[in-house]
Amino acid sequence: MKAKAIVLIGMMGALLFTVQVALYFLPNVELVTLLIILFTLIFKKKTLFIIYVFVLLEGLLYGFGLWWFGYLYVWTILYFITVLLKKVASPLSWAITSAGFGLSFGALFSIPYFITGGIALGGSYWISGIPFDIIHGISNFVLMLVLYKPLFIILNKLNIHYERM
Amino acid sequence: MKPTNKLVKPLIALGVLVLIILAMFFIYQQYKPETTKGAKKIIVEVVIPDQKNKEITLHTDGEFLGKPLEEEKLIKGTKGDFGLFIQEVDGHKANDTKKEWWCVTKDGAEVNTGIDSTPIKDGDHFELTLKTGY
Repeated sequence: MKAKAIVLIGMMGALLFTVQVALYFLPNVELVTLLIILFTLIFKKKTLFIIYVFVLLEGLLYGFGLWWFGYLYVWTILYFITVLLKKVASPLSWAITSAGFGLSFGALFSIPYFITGGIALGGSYWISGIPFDIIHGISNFVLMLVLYKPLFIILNKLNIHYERM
Repeated sequence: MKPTNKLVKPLIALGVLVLIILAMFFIYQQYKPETTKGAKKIIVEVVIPDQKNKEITLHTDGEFLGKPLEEEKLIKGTKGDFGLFIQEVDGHKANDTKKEWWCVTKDGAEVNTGIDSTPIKDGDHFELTLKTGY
């Protein structure tokens, strides 16, 4: 891997981490989904490395608890969903995708709880988090609808400069 | 007509999303943890290794554990994705550098919910235990 790719991955991983920590006080309102979708569209496969830099930093800050295992796959699923839908261009379609991901976040996150504690633990974990999932889905929808286009233009321009370096 | 046609699929998807939200809301209403209204007394035991356990009796009208603990100023923390993340109990702050954290249990069994969504009923006994290591 080239040095400039390592720098890009490190910086974008740090950016994801920073926006997550900055918005931590707002329950389930986050920019990570938006940025991972944009990174996947622009930086392509490098996004997988960016995701795991972010996941590692999250573990170092908040501790490597059971929740952290959810982070190991939940963002990667979003990466693959974006790859599958990469021809989608409209902000509304990405807002819907992002909302769907937010709504299913708790269900995806509860998988380790289903594995370790069965249906009772996994089910109660998912159900108790449903109000947060609904907030997550709606906030993802609004943020994507508002920020997709301007951020895509900025990141795309930066990436063109980066590719020429 | 073309721009309208372009909007058909996203609008259908949007409709499906709204239906999913309604379904999730219905599931939550049906299966959410049951709460009890009215006055209740609960006991909270603070467990810190190498120190004597401290039992505190709380009287509350709250339906979830977070409210009486915050009303009594027994805990401090930060609001996060799953409600309040406890950082301090009864003046004892968990030391992040030592990987300390506060574990919430009810009669010794770990609760699966954040303290703001853990229902309480009269006579409940909870433990707040300072643990080390993630």
